[in-house]
Amino acid sequence: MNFIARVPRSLRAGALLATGAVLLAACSSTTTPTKTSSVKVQNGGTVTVGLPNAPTALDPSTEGSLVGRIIFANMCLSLYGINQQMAVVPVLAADLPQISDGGLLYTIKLRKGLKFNDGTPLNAQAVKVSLDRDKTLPTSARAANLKPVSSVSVVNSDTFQLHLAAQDAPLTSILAARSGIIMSPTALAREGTNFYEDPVCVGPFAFKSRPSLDEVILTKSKYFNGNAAGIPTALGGAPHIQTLIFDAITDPSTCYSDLLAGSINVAGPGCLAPNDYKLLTENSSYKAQQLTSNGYEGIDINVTNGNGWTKPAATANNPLATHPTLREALALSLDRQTINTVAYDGSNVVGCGPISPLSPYYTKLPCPAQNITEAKKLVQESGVPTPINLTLIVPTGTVNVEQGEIEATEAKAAGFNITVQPTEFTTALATAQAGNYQLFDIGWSGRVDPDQNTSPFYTQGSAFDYTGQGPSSIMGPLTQAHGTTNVSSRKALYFRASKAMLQYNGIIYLFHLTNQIAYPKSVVGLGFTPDGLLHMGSVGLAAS
Amino acid sequence: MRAYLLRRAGISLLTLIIASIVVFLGVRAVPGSPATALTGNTNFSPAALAAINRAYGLDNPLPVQYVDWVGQVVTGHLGSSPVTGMPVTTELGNAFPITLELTVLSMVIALLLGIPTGILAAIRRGRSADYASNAAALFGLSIPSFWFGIMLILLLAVVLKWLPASGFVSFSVNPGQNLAHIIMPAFVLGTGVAAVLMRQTRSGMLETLRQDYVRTARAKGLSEWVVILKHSLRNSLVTVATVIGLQFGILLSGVAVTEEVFGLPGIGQLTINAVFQRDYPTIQAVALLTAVIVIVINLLMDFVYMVLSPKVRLAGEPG
Repeated sequence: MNFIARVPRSLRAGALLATGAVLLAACSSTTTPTKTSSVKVQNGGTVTVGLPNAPTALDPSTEGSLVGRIIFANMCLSLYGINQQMAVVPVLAADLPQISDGGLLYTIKLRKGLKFNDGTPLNAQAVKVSLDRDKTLPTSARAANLKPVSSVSVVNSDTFQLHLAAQDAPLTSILAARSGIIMSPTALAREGTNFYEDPVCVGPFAFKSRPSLDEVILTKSKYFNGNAAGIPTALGGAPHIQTLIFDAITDPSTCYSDLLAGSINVAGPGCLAPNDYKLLTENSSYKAQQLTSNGYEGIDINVTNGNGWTKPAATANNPLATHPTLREALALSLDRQTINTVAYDGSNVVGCGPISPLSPYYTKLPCPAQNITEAKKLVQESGVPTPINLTLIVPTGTVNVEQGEIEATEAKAAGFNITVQPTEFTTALATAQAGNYQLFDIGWSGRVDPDQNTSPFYTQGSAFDYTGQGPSSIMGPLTQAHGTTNVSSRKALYFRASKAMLQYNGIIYLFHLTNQIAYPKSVVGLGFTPDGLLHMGSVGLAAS
Repeated sequence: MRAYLLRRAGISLLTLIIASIVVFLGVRAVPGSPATALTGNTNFSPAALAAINRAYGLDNPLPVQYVDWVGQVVTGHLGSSPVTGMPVTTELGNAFPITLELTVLSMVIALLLGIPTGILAAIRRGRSADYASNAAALFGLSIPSFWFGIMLILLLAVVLKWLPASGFVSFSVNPGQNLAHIIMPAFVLGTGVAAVLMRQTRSGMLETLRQDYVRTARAKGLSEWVVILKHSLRNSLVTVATVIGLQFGILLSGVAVTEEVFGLPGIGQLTINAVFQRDYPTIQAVALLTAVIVIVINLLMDFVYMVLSPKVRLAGEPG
């Protein structure tokens, strides 16, 4: 019997229908960007950016994720921004602050003619409302950064003043980040703590919707006139595209295939794996850009965080805590270049301090080369029996585990027996904050001002201080640098502090992280700054 | 029947309560809290962290937190996410329809592939069609879904550019784009389930084709088509229905790996992100939803048995 020949008509029709549906779906697939070198840009269109994870609630007062900053850079401009030379430049502000009264009074003038994306004019009163909210909202993530500001006053419609209790050198750069985002007072009055549902600020794009946690949709602003107001085009712009979509793609392989398939137009910072980025640098259809960031990767050693970050400093249960020469030996056993090359495809910049080479506060610090002989000698001199058993916590992930394994292998030659313990990230944070660890591979995304890349990591009582309270040789120059706005003085002080950090080895800095992005050549006008932000205000799609 | 329904309702309620307690305590046993997750990239002050804990009731004793949560659930509020600030009902409302659509389409594909193949393998036992069907089933069972998904993306999206690589477009926004985005992940999941259904159908059919009533039906002169579909298949579907119910429940709870590979913001992705970020309200809500889904599906399957099997129907309850 031929069963197939006896398939009823209804089933045959169904099969045809299903086939037709699949073919219809295939024909209506997304349009791939046109690969052309033409500079003529079409008006309209949609650009989709892949980001490595989803932002938290889109409220500038509370948002705490890296990707949130990228989204805000396009719909919520700050008073200041960062240019390609890592210098702070005025964006919503007309000029850099006039600092007077011994560094206790900041007078800031706003650019004229700017409006929020609901038509409300940007003025000094709006700035006061916004900054006061940042300072006083109980769940504010900006309150700590704005703590030095005791009050905000309005001088006239486009001038306001910040009154400080003490000098605070990082303040201007802090206003170049989320703390400097000005929210529409109309929207704040309407939404209150639900501002995240419909955030309204000043920017080339306006928030349209967030259909899922993983997707944020912006549309071209009707009110933004950054060019006319004098905002640097690279940080403001006048969008050619109509819609800008940010998509969270947590798997780097998926990000890569999405880019190749045209499902996304831009692979944002952190979306691609280093080896996929490398492939794109060799693909002539794509532009691959890499910038050294303010961030770093390093190994935190538990020295004085014996009881956890909320308790007073105490020596940790760790042979490296009681023997500084062992920390030096561990540092000398590592070959930073090998770790960078093998685990990161050479994508990072080898360094042994927390300050980015692009920072105006950077002074080159020669990194000690790997020296196993000297490392072994220091281990022997310590009197601690070998092998010295240690546990290294690494966040889960192929690259992180690979890095940990390389470090363990290199350190073995000097007499350290390191067990690599892959740990889910939040668990790793909790463990490190509680002081229940010996070694912790952890990076930091970085901020513009060097104070934010140093002090919190050596100050007991800071959630970032996994290593414990730093010694006076480090804290002394850091505290002085925090209290002066003189650039050359700060530069010298940070150099002194960096040398002390290199000697102390509470954090063994390995390299400066880089941010990598890639996009097809049909995407033009994309801005990318060393703070890891994408500026899409001038982006467009090349006309076919 | 009424006694049966009451008994099932009671057991279901008890199951829900136990599941809620286990999940409630389980997530809090894992190191780290929502506040810890938030300190990953922002140096919150201790005061701000305390305020966050207070805002979400996380500073209350555990029994108080549990009672508060149950009270909210009973009144239809699932709380707000301390990570996103969004109401959990909104998050679930966004994610669940995606997983539901993926599940339904996967099951349709599984049924269209699995049952006919199983029938063919049974009636062509020992012949090339049987071997081919078994080989296909082995492929479906053995190949990891994430690998299969990545291969399909490479072929259909990257090389041929027939379909988008990832993402989701709502059916109400663009039906064509919706199908284009969901067909690949549905096919990946569907083939895996189809393999199970094929094996189950084949096994059930082989059993029923040996029965006396089938021989009687043939002897009465009924066509082979009627014998296979009306007499044999219907009786072998009881076990197949069990598998369908189980698989439906598994898929509806969120298939995280497939959703991650294809960038579908469904229940699976929501759960994974919530666990990493210690988003207690979301984790608890998803667990509750999963428990409700499993209970409802089990109930539905019981009634399907009654429809399919006269023995069960005459006994007055599914058993």
